[in-house]
Amino acid sequence: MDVIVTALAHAATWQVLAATLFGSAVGLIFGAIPGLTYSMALAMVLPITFGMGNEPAIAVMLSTYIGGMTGGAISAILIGVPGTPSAAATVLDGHMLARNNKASLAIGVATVSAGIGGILSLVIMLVAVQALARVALAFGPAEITALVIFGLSTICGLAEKSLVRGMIGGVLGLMVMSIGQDPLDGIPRFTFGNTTMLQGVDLLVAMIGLFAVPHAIAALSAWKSGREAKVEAAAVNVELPNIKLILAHWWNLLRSSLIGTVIGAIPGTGGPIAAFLAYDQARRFHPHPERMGKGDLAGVIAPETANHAVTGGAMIPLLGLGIPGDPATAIILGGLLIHGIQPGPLLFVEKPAVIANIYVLFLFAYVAVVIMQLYGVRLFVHALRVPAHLLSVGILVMCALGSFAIRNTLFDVVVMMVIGLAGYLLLRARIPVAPILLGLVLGPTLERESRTALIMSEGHLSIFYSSWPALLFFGLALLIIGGHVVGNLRANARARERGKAGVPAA
Amino acid sequence: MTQTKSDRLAGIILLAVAVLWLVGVYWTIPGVDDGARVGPRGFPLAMGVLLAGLSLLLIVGSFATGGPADAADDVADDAAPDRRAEVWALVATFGFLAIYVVLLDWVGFLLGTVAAVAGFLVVVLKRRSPGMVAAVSLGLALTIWLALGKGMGVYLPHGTLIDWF
Repeated sequence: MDVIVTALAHAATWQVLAATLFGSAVGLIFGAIPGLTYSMALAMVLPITFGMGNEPAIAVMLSTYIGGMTGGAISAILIGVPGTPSAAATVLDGHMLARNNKASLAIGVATVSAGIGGILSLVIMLVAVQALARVALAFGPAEITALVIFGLSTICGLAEKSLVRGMIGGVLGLMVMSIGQDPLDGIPRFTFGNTTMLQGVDLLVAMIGLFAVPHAIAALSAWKSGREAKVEAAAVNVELPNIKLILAHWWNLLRSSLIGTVIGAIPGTGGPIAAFLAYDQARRFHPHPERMGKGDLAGVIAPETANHAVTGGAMIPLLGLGIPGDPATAIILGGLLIHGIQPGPLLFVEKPAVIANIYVLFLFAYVAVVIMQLYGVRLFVHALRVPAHLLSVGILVMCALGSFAIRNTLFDVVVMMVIGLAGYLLLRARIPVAPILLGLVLGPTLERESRTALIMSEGHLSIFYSSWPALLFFGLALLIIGGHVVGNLRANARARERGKAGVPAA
Repeated sequence: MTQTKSDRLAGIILLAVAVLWLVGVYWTIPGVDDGARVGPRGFPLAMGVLLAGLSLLLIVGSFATGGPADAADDVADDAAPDRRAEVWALVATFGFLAIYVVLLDWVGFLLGTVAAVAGFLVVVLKRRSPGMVAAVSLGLALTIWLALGKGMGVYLPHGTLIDWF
């Protein structure tokens, strides 16, 4: 406790506060613009920290990381294009809320959920860092494959009316992500001799195409046919969530925080998986699951809480074992090393004050990001006052720029266009977007980990059922898929009986 | 088109995509001789087979009467947007993006964005006020250029023909 109080005293300086605000602002901007990532923002701010003391430097890095993660929800809610892959699940209900003139409420709820998720993950990190680090170490390729299969089983819940169409979406997503250089052997796949294609389709480029292009087409089409919704300046509502509303979702917040922290502790997984798993659980526990995907606050709270709890979870292997779980935490690890901090089990024994500093700065970063974003809501919602057809021009420009900025190549803008066209046609064919996204997010991990597991076992499938975490996740996936198939068969049987009796469908 | 017919058409197109994908996998990705492990061909091959199977299920489901749970929804697609407006929007969106990519490549971000946005406002959205067109196109391009390009060091496209900024 004394160490924490001392860390608080060290952190309460104007340099640390200024550094936290600076990092939060940079992170929020990079997170909110589709195509600009928080890894990019971290890489950009890292050299700035070289001349700083340890506390301000860590404050800049952590607040940029957390701000970037939080900013992704702004564009996801306002324009229906996720700013970061972790915000992909937030689009499903968040953007529907914006279309129902509840954008500010959705952003407010997303922000508060993000803060709660992050701070709860910090508490879990405080009490269970060593134990969770050991659990994380129990996750090898076979266990991660099982976890990803479990993640893919959520397609059942995201498939809307037809499981077949949902699975088609998921498979298409997995197929797109297998284009490019093979992750293990380095063999080019569907690159047609183009060296730019060797890197494959970038997840963010695919997501921008999938969301932004159909959005622009729909906006322009509505304007041309005279069906564009007119938004009066005064009609854009600024409504922020109150404590009562947040407390009403306490179980969703707690559950999603736990999911996010545990997933975050497993290297190689990350925010998108946690967000989709939490979203699926929120749908399962919802008293009216049919409302999910149509603009329900539970559908914003779950993914935002989980993907921010990942930030705390990701600190567990980072600080406890010195293992970064994703590119962003790898940059933070680099920053810590530059500042003479060597993460690992010894850090907890030899330098508990440094650990306490990191916890306190983590807390500061969340508080700063939440305050900035809640104040910013009033500013962000002004975007909705611009008529949709005019806004679509800006969105297309930003999306082209965002696609370019990821790898500095115009080829990615062309890829974004192709995926956008395919996404639009699939939407018209009633193939739901969410399973496509899930396939895009989980595809590379599924292939890499399953093949690595098979190499380790020399081709024996037994590796997938020889440990309790793998068995647990495979079992859960089977239960979900089985339950959904049985439910569908029963619904069909009831529909047929009603048809025979001449009773109209409910 | 009814939704059943739309499903059938989608199923046939997706089946064709799956077949093309499988042919592409077979002809362009080498397999591995080592039977003990999955080579680079394994995962795409499995996905192609899965897509083919699911597309067949979609086609069969569209023929089965009372089969799929959503068969009750088999109504004319009245909610679909006006077809002419939809085609116009498709052409406008992809036309804009295609021209924008070429302009970015030739004249770089600042000039390319001003020209593409101004052109879109005049030609597609029929905005005739020069002040409005100039304000929107210049405002958007300059804001991004200053905030992201200069302020945050984000690399913006440079032109191959003209590279002023």
